[in-house]
Amino acid sequence: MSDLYAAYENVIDLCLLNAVLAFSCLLLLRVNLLSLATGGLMAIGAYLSIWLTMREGWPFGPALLAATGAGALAAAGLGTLVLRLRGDYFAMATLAFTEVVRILALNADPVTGGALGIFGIPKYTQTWQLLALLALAIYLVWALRRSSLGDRMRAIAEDELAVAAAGHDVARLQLGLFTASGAIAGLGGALAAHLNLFVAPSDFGFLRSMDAVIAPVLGGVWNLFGAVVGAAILTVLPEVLRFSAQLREILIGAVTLLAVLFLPTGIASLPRLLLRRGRLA
Amino acid sequence: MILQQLINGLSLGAVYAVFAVGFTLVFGVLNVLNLSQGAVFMWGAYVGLEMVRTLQLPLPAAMTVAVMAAGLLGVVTEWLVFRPLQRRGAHRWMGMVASLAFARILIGAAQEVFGTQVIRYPDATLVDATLVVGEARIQGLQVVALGVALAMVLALGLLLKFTNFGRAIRTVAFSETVARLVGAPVARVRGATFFLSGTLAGGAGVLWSLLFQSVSPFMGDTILLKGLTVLILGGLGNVAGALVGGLLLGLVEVGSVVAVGSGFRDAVGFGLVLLILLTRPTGLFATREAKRA
Amino acid sequence: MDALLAIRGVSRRFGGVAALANVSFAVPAGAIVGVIGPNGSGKTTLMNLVSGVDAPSGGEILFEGRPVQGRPVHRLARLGIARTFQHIRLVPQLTAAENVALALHEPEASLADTLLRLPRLSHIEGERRRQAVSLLERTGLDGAADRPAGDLSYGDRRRVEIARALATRPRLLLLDEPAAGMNATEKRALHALIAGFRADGITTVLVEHDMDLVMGVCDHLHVLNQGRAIASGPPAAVRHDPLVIEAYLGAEDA
Repeated sequence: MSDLYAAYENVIDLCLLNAVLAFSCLLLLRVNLLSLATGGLMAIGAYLSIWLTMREGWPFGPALLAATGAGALAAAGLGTLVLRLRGDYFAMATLAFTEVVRILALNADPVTGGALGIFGIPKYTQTWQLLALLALAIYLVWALRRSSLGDRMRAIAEDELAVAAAGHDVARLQLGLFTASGAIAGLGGALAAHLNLFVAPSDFGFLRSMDAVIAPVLGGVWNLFGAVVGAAILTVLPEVLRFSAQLREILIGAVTLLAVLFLPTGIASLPRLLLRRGRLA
Repeated sequence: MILQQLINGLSLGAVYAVFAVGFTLVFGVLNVLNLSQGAVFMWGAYVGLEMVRTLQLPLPAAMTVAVMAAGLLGVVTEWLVFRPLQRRGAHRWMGMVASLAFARILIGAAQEVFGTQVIRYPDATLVDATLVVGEARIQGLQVVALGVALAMVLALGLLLKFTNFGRAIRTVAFSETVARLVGAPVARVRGATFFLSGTLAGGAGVLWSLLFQSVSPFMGDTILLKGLTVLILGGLGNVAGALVGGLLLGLVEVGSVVAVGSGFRDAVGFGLVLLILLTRPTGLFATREAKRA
Repeated sequence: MDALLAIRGVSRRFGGVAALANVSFAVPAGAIVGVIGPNGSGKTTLMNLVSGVDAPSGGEILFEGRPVQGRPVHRLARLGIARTFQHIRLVPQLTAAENVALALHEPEASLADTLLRLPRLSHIEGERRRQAVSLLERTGLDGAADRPAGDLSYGDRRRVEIARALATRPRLLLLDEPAAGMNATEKRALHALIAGFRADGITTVLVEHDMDLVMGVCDHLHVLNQGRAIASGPPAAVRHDPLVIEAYLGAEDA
């Protein structure tokens, strides 16, 4: 068992990290928000934590906290700007945000090392930390599920106007969730930096944001383990199939498209669907 | 100097405008955000290039083939990605995710077929005349690009305004329910809108690759972001706004390179977007109202 | 005049088309006021303006003497303006009781209660459920509390929507075609329900096509035709108004 862990430690760590990031997007999808800000928010957390630990000599814990706060703050700022407008602006503005952060990072050589990136980041991130974080995320989503707040989220997904007519400020709830999602992404960015030991602006671009959104969609947005299943598939699939990079892209695209078109409740719901079909037959 | 920047900015902006008009057309008519538009742009550029390189077609013929091919790719997008979702009444974000996934397939396929390195049009196909006005050197290519771009947008405008089919498109844009009531061919309009949008993306792809002498599988990512920028500048679904917004973005970008250097060129547009969102959230030229509630 | 709601010269244009043109009337506190008119006469547009779903192009809407036009829907709901929708807007996956509880604001669990699952959470959720069920009882849906809203009959869903509107504790209730899709028995129950609002201090504005219901339950009617107010008065008078008869007959011909 421990041999197995040693052999696949990298993949396991990546799976856990991606699952945590997938949760940050899942929260938003549940209230009709498609965020492509994950890459940009991760970059903010990553560069802040690297600066604090490597230049200012901060211990890892406080640096993580600072990264979490910075992610939350950035998301709150962006959300305040665009969430009062119609929903499509949100997806576009978050995509633009990620791109702006990437361009700034490319040009801020003293902090980010420019396009070449930063090498030799100390490895602080431990598997148990990622595991604990993922467990916390799963618990929080579970706790939300059977509560009036969870019902309200479900209602927003179906009909925002009905929730507004019931006297709830939909944009405020969405802002709160986007802020929480920003906190997770900022924290995730810091953990990623101290896991990979090397960071460049291209790590936090459009593709990064897209993977974080695709994972919960693939696994199932309304399934408690959807984010985990989706992230595991997206992380393990490329490792197992030793295809060319191009073929992997095509495959990931195709699997995602098929899931959205034919399995809107996600792959994590497959066992239940099959079971029901078996019972009917 | 000013004249030089003006022509640089306008030719760049014209390509943005062509792309953005196609983007905003789909949004305005069908109320969906098609994020695979950048990949269609990229495929248009490759098809045009291959027509010139392997079939030795003259440039106008190559561009026509590329534009048609991109239009068909647009139709495939509608048929494969958006129609099933629309029939199911899926959440709006599903269309965005599905079109992103489709773009990923198209980009991977382009890498597989054409390789990942940047390639360019053979020199012989290019208009290499240069007009010197004072200190400005205006390349013939820039003038051609500007002309073709404006012609494409104008053609679309005339089609929408004066043909029966254009009227049908505008009816669906106003309300799909109304369109069904008055018997407009809604399904055909959907397909045609995606076709037109694809042709514009493909045309923009060819013009872009001529102007900048580079074709690569990833060229669609940048233009997609520019398209989104113009979409917000001009107002969602506003065709005239997209034309003006595209030209404006081109001018502002070229101006910013002169003012602060090229490192931030791609960020300037987004700065503009933030400013717009703060002051005029429905776009510079918008008549529509932002969603309330 | 102690008008709860006053509509003053309100217009709404969509592009070049005027859906409402210079409409004015007042709704006294405690009244049941009907708004009738042929299809496309602007009734739903008016409901949307008063409830904040849409903003007028011109004119003023006063609620308890304060201008409220253009305020967001949720703010107006908290001020005391509740509504139902012509096209039912329930969440099909949630039960009837959960749909009603969406609009309850007291008691409400805090974020900490919810996420830490503190002991008082079950207390609060229990109280919310009790209130939701009692609102459902009031609309005659005692048995349906735990059934998914998507499984209910058309008429029952309309009643869940009314219960949800009542859950915001409104002073003004806007009902947009509540009888649509109801059978005769259900309509009689609806009649009694609406008549009962008067005793609870809830003022009602009713948009409805069912003339028996409108004539029977309303104190006062306003008639819209092509975006204009063409008549108003007690039901008996409006019924014989030649302008009104012409508007309806004209609509039949078209």
